[in-house]
Amino acid sequence: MSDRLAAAAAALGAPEELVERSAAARAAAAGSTTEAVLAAWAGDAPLPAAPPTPAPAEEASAPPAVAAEPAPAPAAPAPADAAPAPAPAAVAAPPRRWATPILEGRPHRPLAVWLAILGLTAVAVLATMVIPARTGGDFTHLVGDPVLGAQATSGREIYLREGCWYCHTQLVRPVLADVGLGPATETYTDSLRNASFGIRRLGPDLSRVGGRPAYGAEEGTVTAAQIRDFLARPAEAAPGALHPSYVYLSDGELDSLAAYLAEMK
Amino acid sequence: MTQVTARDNATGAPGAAAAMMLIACLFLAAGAALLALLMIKLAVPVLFDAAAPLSYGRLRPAAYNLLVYGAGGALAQAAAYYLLPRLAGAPLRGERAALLNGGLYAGLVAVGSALVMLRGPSGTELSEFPPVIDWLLAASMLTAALLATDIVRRRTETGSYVTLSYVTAAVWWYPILYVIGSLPGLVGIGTFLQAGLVSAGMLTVAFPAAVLGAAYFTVMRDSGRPLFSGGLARAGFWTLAGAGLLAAPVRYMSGPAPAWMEAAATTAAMGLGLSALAVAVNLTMTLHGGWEEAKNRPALMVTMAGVMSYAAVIGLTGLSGFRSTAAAVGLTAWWEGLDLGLALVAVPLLGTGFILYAFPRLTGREVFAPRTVRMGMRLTLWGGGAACGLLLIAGLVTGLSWNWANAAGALRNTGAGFGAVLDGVAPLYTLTAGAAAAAAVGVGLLAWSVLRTYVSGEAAPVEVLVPVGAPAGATGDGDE
Repeated sequence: MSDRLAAAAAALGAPEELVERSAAARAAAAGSTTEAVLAAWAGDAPLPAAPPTPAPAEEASAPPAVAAEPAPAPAAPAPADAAPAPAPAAVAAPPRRWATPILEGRPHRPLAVWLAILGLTAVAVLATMVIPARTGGDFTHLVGDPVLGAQATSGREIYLREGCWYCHTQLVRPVLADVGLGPATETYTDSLRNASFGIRRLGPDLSRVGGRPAYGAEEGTVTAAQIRDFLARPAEAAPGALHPSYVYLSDGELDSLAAYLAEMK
Repeated sequence: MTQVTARDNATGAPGAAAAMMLIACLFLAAGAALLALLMIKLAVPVLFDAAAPLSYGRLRPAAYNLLVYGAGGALAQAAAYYLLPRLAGAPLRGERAALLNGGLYAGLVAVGSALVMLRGPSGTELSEFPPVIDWLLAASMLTAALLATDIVRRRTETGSYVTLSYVTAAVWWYPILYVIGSLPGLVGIGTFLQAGLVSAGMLTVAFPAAVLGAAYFTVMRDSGRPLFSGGLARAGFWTLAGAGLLAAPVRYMSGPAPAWMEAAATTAAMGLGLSALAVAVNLTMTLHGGWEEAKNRPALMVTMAGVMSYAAVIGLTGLSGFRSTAAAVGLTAWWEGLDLGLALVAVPLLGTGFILYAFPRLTGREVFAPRTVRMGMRLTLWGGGAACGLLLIAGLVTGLSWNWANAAGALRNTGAGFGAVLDGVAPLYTLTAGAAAAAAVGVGLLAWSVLRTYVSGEAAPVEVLVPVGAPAGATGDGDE
């Protein structure tokens, strides 16, 4: 067999191990022996009859051959897993799709694929968004609205519009890294409904910024005026702070944004 | 059944596939430039501080919109219009409709991104366009998905190709996730979960899917080698389809989400990493022993660089799902690094690799200046890789600092205490800015090479789809 295998591999220009696997698959599909298939591929005997395997193998052989390629094959170039399957035209046995050898490709079922993709997507949406958001669990306490004044409510809109939540969270986790930021988000009930949690903390968490000391201070509580100064001129209010200036906002907008942050206690 | 043949040279306007490739290149260059500017703003926040459109909070969504929707969406459509006819054996019906829809799509993304910069973002992350654009954009995505599905529906080729599954999935994931992200009426935790799902799903699932499918096609056709394992390719695809979206909550582990959801996300994140590993192993083994040859083929070289960077980024995403890892890097710049790695390195390389293979064949032009391509690839890979790595380090340093500082009671995690830790990683941000700028130049060079190919490339044979007789055994009437 090794001689025939070598001869077949040489004739097909493919590695022996690949030729052997493909020959075994072809033999199983055709009800023949591996020896007979190898002999045929080596040019010593006619090819055993094979059921129609219309699909060229996985991927490697896109059905339309590219004539512009250096070695164009007119209809079916070298298949992938079954590199040596050179004679899809040698068809004699009746169709037996269920017997299509795996190495020679599987029939594509686009509707099944499409439905499976949609189904998996639906499961993920249900599991990561719909069910946790609607059925309670840890969120049964989701009842309260934050008590924000009119100016602070306007400030919240500015907070969202300016994308502050790309750098700041309003989310305290029950982990060591968040010790000192106040109660974990799950455990308080008064500001979940309209909170803007955020998922990045390039700047500090702001969930209770209004109840903290001013930048650089050890005691006391920050005021809206101090927050406003920081937002307008961070380099002066907190030298060295890596924070953009919001000098382009109007005075009213700065006041509103500062009021919103100051009311988050 | 259709077959690809060649004619001497290209004539007339580009078809829908070629047009979407050009559009993708323009968006890649623009998005990469904005992303580099964003990284510069991260290092120097007061830069252009009087210009509202260039504030960090507006620049970030605009940059990611241009890359994920502009470039990613255009690449998905280009892949669908180029690959599906070749794999399904049926031509694109409605070439003109596809072209018009592609133009409308590109216009909406460009206008939407400009509005985000001028007026600020609205809605959840990666769905920040104004509502009027949201629904037009979703309709345009859906039109592209229907056009692509129509090709598969009329197939004459019955073989199974994993590329076909990736591309089909990509063109449907885009409208589905976009509609979910644009659903109004959610508040509080609902908005949070919506944003988490859509941003993670878009970045790690929809955005790379089409170009991953294209990578399988490009590597095998350009190298002339058979795929190492069809089974592994299918396993990789279905793992991505099954685990990709479920892994979204790993971005906010220990946050306000049920414990069962986080457990599922951790498991799914491991699956997500394995799906990327499957792609990398499969294509690497496909090229086993032929790397020298790959160096002389620009499309192959760029594609494999993209595959490796994709596997690295998604592999790290999978690792980030463990609770112990999340406790250190959760919510930090680590995630910014992973996002940047996908948006500025992996997908641009995978996308331009595919374009460098397909575009010359569609337009009848040789790739212009392969040396420029090589330089662009290196800058993108090393610059973007460095930017990504520096942000990962910054995230790890800040995360560990907070753990250690809190354990020792050494610092307060707010105000000046936060500033002290930030000062420690500020030099990393400065380096990141430089590296990201280099990567943006690299992406620009890759895009420029494609555009110059169209304008100045030497004449070459062009592929043309022509109808041929149905092959023996081809049913053409579906297998379902």
